Amino acid sequence: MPMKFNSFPYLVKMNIINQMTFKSIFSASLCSKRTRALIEFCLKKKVKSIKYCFLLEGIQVIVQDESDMSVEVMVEVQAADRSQTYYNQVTMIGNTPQIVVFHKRKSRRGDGQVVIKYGLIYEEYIKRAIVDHVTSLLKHSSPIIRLEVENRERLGTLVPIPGIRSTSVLGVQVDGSVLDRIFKNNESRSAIIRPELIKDFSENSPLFHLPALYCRNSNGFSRTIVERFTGQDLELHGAYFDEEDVLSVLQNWFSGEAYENLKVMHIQAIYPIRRQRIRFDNNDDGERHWSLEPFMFEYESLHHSNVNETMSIDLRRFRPLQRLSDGMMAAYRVSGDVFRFVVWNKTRDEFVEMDQ
Amino acid sequence: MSVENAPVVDVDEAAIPVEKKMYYRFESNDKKEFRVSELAIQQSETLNRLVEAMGYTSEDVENKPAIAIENIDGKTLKLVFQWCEHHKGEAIPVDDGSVPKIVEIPEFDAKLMDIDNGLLFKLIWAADYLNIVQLLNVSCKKVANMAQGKTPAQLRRVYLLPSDEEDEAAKRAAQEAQDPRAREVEEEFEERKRQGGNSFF
Repeated sequence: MPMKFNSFPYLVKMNIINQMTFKSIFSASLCSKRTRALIEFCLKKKVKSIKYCFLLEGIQVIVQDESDMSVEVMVEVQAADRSQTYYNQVTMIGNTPQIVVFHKRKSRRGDGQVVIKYGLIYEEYIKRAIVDHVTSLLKHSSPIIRLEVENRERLGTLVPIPGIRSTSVLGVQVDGSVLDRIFKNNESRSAIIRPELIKDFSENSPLFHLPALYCRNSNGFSRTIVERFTGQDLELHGAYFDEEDVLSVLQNWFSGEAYENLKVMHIQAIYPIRRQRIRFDNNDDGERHWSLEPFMFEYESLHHSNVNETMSIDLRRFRPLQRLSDGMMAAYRVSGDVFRFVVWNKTRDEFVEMDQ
Repeated sequence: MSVENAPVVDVDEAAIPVEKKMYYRFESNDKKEFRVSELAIQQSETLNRLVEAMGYTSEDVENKPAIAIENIDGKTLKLVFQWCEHHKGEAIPVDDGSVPKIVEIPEFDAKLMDIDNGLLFKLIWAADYLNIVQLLNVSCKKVANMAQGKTPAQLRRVYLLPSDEEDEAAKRAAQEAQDPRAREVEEEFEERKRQGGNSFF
């Protein structure tokens, strides 16, 4: 016997909807316009974050519940196999009718995951519709929006997503032009690039202008990135970076030619950097360490997933640097294969000498 | 006077009057009577206020007629009071209008709600009417769980949700029932439009 849902009082309906899993909520919202309107109106379940994963074969939307921090796949959409006689249902997703079919995949827990299958020619439309639909269902929350793009044999169609906080790119290798495409489509506050970078970027790639950038394997493109980066937080690993590059970074900051917004730079080179060869000016004896209060450099990391995650760096093993033009302070340290550079938003007068 | 200096008085425990547990009597709309403990009644905000307002003594409870609950049948009320007796004395969630956070269905409740959907529907109505917050939460959770792993078509069947076409048809039917002339006027208007008339009047 079915449950006469619409015969319940409003507050009971609201209670039921808010106790559903996000995947059930999504499925229910596709039942009719009226049901969707009801869900949009009474859904109060808070979402901490939404992650849109663009995979080769489709898109997955993963949400994190704010109350217990549990993570759940809200919707999974995949291109249908050509041999399958699909595309026989018209369902309103987002604000447009889509030709899709619902496929149930069994899970160990028995609750199953409903996968929406679509014809490949509709890829862009369906992805846009999913983003619109999820955005409107979860509009009462202010979640952190994340984008995850998997770069395999080909990059699936990307669609714009509003308000992205961080973007992760996955895969083994990624072409600079692919990154250009990803970041041209979506404005993001930070990017985490995990694959090895291959082939060059465009002259004015949007990647250089992101507030925060992390590359796990920056390879021979590290110099280009370091030279052109205009954001505040840069972290490169597997970088081709030597003493000359360290001096170039310091000189560019010192002269005010670059790094106007920089707060933290962390470069891990593939070879050790010879510290003894770094003498920035005549006053830099290579031995003088930071001796000012405060000595803890604190900043809000944009790479980390949680909002307002404050990171701190102890500068007592760093070397101080003062820009003559405006008196601003910075500090750097070379240790083994790592170069770290932090820029204060303070002049020398705003510090006090530490008691020895 | 400090606690240490207070006089020590020997107390004969047998002499302390033990407060007799009070059991209220309720009657369903199909004339079935139930005896429910005072503590169990506290789970229902509605009943708790009602008995407080009545101010019954132990004698009143026995001598006066059972309190009638007009819109709940005996089968449903039995489940409600079984639930209240089992959970008596437990903290009652504050009903502040916010959504319940994480609701787990205890084993007892799961067994109690192992009933057909018709009776579950009535149980939810009763929990809502009697304002038994936790019973409402667990029963709603049970209904919410019915949606797991279902496609939209299956959900329409499980929850009897009309499709867009059915909603439209119902809306039209409701309009016509309200004003039978409305359809005729609409048809006339359409006809005149087809004939190229500029004005309806």
